[in-house]
Amino acid sequence: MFDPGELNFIGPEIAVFVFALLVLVHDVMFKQRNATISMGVSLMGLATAAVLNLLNMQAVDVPREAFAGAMAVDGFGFFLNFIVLLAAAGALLISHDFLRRIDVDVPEFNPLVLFVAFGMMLMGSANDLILLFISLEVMSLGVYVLCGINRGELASAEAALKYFVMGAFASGFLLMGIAFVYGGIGSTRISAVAQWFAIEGNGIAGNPLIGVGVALLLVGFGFKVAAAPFHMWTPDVYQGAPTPVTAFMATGVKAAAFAALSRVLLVALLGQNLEFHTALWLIAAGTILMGNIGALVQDDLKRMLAYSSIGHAGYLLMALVGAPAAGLADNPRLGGILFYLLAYTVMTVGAFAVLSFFTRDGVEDTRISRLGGLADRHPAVALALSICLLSLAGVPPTMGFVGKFYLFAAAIEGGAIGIAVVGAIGGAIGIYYYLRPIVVMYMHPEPADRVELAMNPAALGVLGVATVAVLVFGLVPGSLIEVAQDSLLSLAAWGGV
Amino acid sequence: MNPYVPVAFAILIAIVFSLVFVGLSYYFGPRRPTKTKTAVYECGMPPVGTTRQRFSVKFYMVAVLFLLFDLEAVFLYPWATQYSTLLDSFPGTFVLGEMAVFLGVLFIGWFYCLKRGAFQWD
Amino acid sequence: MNPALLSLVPGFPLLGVIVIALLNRKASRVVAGSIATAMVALSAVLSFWTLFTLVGAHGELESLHTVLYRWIDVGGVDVNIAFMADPLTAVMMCVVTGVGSLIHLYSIGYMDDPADANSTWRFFTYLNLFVFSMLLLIMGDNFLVMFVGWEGVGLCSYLLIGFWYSNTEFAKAGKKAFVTNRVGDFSFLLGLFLLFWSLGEHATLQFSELKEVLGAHPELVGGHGGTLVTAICLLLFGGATGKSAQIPLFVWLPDAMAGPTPVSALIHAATMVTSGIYMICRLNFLFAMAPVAMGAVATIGALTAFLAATIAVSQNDIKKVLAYSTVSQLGYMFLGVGVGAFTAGFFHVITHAFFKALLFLGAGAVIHAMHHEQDMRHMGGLLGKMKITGWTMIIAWLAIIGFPGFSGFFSKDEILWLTFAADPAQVALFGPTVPLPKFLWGIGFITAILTAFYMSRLVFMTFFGEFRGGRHGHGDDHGDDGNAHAHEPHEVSPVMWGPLVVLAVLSVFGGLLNLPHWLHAGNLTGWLHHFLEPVFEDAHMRFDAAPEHLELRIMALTIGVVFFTIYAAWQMLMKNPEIKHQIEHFIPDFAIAGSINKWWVDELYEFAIIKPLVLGSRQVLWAIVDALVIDGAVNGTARLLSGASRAYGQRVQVGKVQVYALALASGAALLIFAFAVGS
Repeated sequence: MFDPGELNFIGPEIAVFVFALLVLVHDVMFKQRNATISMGVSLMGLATAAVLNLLNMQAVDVPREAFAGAMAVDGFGFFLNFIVLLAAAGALLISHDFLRRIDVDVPEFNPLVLFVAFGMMLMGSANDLILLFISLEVMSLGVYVLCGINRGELASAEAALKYFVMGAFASGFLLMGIAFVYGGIGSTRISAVAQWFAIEGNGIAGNPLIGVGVALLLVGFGFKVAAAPFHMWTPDVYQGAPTPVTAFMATGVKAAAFAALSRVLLVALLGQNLEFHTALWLIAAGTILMGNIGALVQDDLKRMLAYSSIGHAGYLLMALVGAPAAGLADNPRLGGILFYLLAYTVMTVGAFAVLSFFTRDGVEDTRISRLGGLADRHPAVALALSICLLSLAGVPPTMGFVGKFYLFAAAIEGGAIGIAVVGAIGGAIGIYYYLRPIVVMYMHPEPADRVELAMNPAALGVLGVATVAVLVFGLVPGSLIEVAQDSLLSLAAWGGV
Repeated sequence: MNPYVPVAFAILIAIVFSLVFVGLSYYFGPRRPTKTKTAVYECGMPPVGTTRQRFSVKFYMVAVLFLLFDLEAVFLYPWATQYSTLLDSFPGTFVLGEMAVFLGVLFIGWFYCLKRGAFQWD
Repeated sequence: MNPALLSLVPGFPLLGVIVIALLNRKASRVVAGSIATAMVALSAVLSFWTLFTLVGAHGELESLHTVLYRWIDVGGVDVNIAFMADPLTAVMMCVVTGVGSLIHLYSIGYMDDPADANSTWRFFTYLNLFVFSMLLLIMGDNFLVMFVGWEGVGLCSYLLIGFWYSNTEFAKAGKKAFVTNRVGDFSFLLGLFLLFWSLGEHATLQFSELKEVLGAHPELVGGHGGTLVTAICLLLFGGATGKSAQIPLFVWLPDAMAGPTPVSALIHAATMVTSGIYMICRLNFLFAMAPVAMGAVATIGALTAFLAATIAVSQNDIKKVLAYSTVSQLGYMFLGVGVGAFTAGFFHVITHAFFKALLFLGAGAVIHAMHHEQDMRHMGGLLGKMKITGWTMIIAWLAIIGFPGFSGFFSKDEILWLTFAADPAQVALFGPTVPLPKFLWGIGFITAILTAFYMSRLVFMTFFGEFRGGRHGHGDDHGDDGNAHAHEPHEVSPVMWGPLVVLAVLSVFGGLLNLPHWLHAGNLTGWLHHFLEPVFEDAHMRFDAAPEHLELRIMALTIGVVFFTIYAAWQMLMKNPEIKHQIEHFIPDFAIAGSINKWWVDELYEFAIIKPLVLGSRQVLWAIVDALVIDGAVNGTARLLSGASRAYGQRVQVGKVQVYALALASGAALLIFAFAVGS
């Protein structure tokens, strides 16, 4: 019945969890904790998890269930694990010097990041809506605390509270949705739901209970991925949270939530997507437009990136609109979703690494005007930030361009031409506001009251790696795209249509 | 007909009835408020100060910690009662080990709380 | 050789671009120049390795091929960034990188004007970028890579012509080159689209696949001589006339001499301008299917050769003469490939690269020594002052006029002879029976005389007779007053004459690559021809197997006339100026004025095309369409969007959790309602 060997499949999760406990114990054990050791052990945990994940990836050829079906062991989950681990590592490295500068010396930070990563990784491979919900809460609770980790700062506390209140509200919807789906189908297994729908005559049509359940699930996930109209918390929370946390939220949380949403939509509901095609279409269109239009006039780079992150969620939803009802193999370009999540993680972490340099007397100051003259003072940093921003804007030859190309291709191949047009409009608007910081960096003079950039090796390293990756995988995306496509296609193994 | 429709009707009727009767009493009932009448009822004692008082976060802390360790016991009981049944399908080390892991994690949590001073009232 | 190394050939110059651009002002002339030269030299080493690998394989290895990476597959067509080196590519690579590295080296010495000290890094960045683009153009295994290179060299050419952009005239010349090239590129793209479209489900962008597809399904493009294939070839050739300065798009090349002289040598003489010929050679299997297009290529080539030569005889600017001479020589190459003598045409590309680069670099050395004086009327007698430059220039002169034994002699005579002997059916511009080749040979023959004349004139006016300098040069825009002529012209530095000597050696012995069969030179006979045979064999070009003595007779005729022309030029220009005046009496005034004024082609274009276009775009497009419609729409949209953004930020996104929760709940309510009703 139970095979202890299955524990291997959650090896990465276990590693992250155990290391989180280790760091926690270390951090509270002594009067004066050693931040470097804490960071080192945390990173080691992430690295161990990455290695274990790689081993699992090698070992598992055919997707399979584990823990009596609660967990799906497939390429999709493995790929997501990598994204989460990267995001966590990036956030940790950025935070190292940043926390010292804003005078936050708490032992909880590193363990919390690891716990959150643990939740995210489980979310990506959850095959049971209950496990999915629990892991989502593990992630969310940690993130709420991380948002408010800078308690003395009003904005940080406000962000935490807003996120918590709204998040709890949305979690209610999600849980209710799970209950309704269970009520209608009799199972919370995602694969079982798919198999149920595959039976002739079963469907959302004629089953209002399931319909309402799906609607509630969309609300719950929509909140987590910041889709309109459930996105409104995003700008305030992203801006208020400390920069490394924002980076982690924008990348890791988004990736995990999107992975869970994709799994529900592409496995459980694949054959049914005509039923909610219009709803998803409207959500995607609204998200793209809200995000991009909202970002236009922002004067704060962090807030602008928050809006832009809404826009990016819209592009990803756009690809999901193009999901084929007849089976994933019909539209392999959907692999762009995973590729884009990775690309978005890399370029966003890069951009936030630069943002983390902008503190003044322990307070963040990320107004775009602060960037003035950066190109003269620090040409390399300015160039790297420009590359990350251009990648976010989807300019070739960057990773962002390749990812966006595949998202659009997925939508168009899925017949969703209309939403692709909306996406193109959003992208055109996006270019404007992504260029603005670049213009300021290269053409505006330094602000009169300039402060030295708080550059530090760890964050610079993150920036360097991110920039190089953005360029390299923008020029040579081939193999990575293939892995992403294979990973996404592994979802097709879960029955249903 | 959908089997849930009667349920919906029952809920609807309940809501309507309660609203109607509260409304009726509100409409017909005579109201002559005085200061004493509107004051908060404190077992006959005259009220002192406002009811919207802030009190220490420590109480929350205790409540949360209580929940945590209470739930531990909630998990322990079914495990203990079903222990011998579990042994039929799982190896003993596993059944015991699972609980050890659970308690171990909880212990680390306890250790964390201790070191962070969560158990100190002052 | 590992094929993967091919990627390094364009990789090195690209690395150079990056490194120099990163160093920017921190790199002095010598540093930037050394890096640039080293990078191209490394490419050259790899190029020669490639060539020797192919030579050593004795035809058993058809080509080297490497896929750098798979770009996106669009519509069932795999587009790879892939490089290929077959014999044609390998030879061209060696020419580009070999001559290129010599010119890079020379540039280090040439660009020593203190006024340019802050921009030499830019110069070398562009030069390396050019070599990179050129290598993409010739090494790409598909149209996409080739087109990227095709556009890249155009861009670099524009940047380098306008290198001294503070001079408006020079900047204008850059613009002219760019716009003219764009016209050609448009035609090239149209041809490409037409080809792609006509292939339908067999569509491919890869050259080798294209060859197979056309071999198996010639009916896709209308079969041999079909209208479709003719149109495709003519459009592609239209692109070539832009890049390779042929009628009607040759006008930009003479103006392109505004750039620094090494640029003229590298881009506007040795490499970029030959890319049109290279393209036709690469697509020989396609052009061979369209005899009418071949006829057009040959005719345009011959006419260009003649027209440019007539202009060159009366120019006084040393670089202008060389520019028109380049146009004329390119015409020869097109004549060669047009009549189906691909090897001969390509052979001339190689030899021309040697001697024309040498001529330009020599001219550059003269200009450098004369402090930016370019007017030959103010030169003369420089042989005594600049021995190395002078003698190497004389070698180049002998090579270009086809003095027996020099490289140009072999290549030019092969073109002329094969033109004479070509089967009229494969050059069927006016039908398969019209003896067009013989007629074109006549034009080529007359052009050879003109070539001998204007080149002799150049050499005599510059290096012989009395020094007529001492006037302050009008081409001198570098500021200082009459002091400039106080310096006597003297020999340039070794870093500059070194490349001259190497190129001179190549100009003399370049002919060894493809010796004619009547020399009975054993293995050396037609070496290039045999080496390139795998590339061209499927074109199945036919030439009249005339008796050997006819070939020799025609050659002897050419040589005789050339000798006579040199003698006549010497008499006319150096001994008895009287004769010159007498001869001028015989020539109609119209012809003389035409030659001096470049046959008013620029004026014609200005009047017939540019003026109406400018007028139309100012009065109609700009005033109405642009200012009213487009600007209105753009500004309106921008205003609308930022207004919406601001309104959203101020009215909706106000920071209140209640509002957020309301939005969430309303959205949820809508969704639930929709699903409850809808299902």
